[in-house]
Amino acid sequence: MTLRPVVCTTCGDRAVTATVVTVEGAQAVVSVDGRLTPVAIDLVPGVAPGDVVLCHASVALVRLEDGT
Amino acid sequence: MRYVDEYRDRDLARALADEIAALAHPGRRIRIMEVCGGHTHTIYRHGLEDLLPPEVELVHGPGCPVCVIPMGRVDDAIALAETDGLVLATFGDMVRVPGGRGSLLQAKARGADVRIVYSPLDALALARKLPDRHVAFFAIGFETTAPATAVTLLRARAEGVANFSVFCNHVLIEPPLRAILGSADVQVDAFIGPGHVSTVIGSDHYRFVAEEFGRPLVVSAFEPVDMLQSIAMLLRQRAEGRCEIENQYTRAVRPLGNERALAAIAETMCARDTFEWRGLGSMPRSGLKLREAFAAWDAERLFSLPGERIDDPKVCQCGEVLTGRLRPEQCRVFGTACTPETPLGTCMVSSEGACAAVFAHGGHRRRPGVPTGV
Repeated sequence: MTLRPVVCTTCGDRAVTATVVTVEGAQAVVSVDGRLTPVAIDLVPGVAPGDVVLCHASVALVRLEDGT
Repeated sequence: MRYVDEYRDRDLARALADEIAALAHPGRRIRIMEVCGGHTHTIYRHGLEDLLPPEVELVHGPGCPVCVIPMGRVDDAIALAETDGLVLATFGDMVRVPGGRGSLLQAKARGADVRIVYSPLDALALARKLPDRHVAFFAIGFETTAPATAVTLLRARAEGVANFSVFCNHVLIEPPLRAILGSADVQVDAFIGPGHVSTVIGSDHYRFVAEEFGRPLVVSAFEPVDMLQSIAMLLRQRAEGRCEIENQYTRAVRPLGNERALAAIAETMCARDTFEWRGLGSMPRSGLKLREAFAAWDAERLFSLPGERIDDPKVCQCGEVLTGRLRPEQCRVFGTACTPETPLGTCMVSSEGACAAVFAHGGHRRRPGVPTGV
């Protein structure tokens, strides 16, 4: 039998972190393990390229902070 | 990989396991419920139970959003999908969940237009692409996923997209926690709080767990070192006689959460009087519906749905698993009649479900005396 991957589409089972590459209005392009994908940044104001965000269903929920 | 590798450090994990062993009292058991299905997967994928002393027992909670959707709502989604001219979009896990009339995948095989999307925003994009069709999004999930639905609804309104709607099944994390804590036959000493939900609602939201029910809770991230640290924090509280809400996931979770996300949810959705949860029954104000202002995008108002309540299969014990009364491998059909390939219960369907986690990572084989069933 084939075991399905364990990353859930509704609630990734680890922090799906993404590095912001470009920002245009309420949309950003982020890099996840080198793969570029668009995410909505309506809920995380002030995001800038280089920031690391936690994304859920293509929506950024929070900007991660270093040193914690 | 940044924010991942450092939380999988073997030496750090070993040091935390040693600390946990030192804090555990021989003969004094502590039952810790991890609320979130993501945590359940970390436990089995990384074999964390093998690092814990026998006094520390982990039990699984109701935090898999797919697992708690009742069969009647799946049938409603199938009815939507079978509506002429309609495209039903939903997350991948939902298409395999059995309802009373089979699954969405089976409906698709019969000719219904069911499409898997990664985000409600993808469903909205599909509606823009298919102006002659109506696209309904089968929305599920806790407060983690609700913000994405809220953002999508706000954009649909702003752009005037009329051929898009949401079949809202979002649920809230507090009511099931209260139900578990208020139940006489569930013995949970402490909680590992959900990490992603907490990025939205904040760690302060759980104060009722300590203040009203006298149980400590640590909001935790999802990597193995994170979870071991959270368990150590709970044991430290016990050793020091404290009962508090603590936050291990400080790199993402703030005390008040994401206030913009909460505002977006509040603008688009409000609590239902009651909502049925699989395994937990109906709970007041535990689910969300679209607000009147978004009636034009509410699939429940736009289409006629059966809305019938359907009992779970009698042999299925998802309810006991979801409330920590049974370990997945103790269910009478685990690994025999119910497998990830032919699931009877939702806990085996969703990749986040406790049964699927135990089955996929062989957790049931580690325990002597428990039949493997595979």
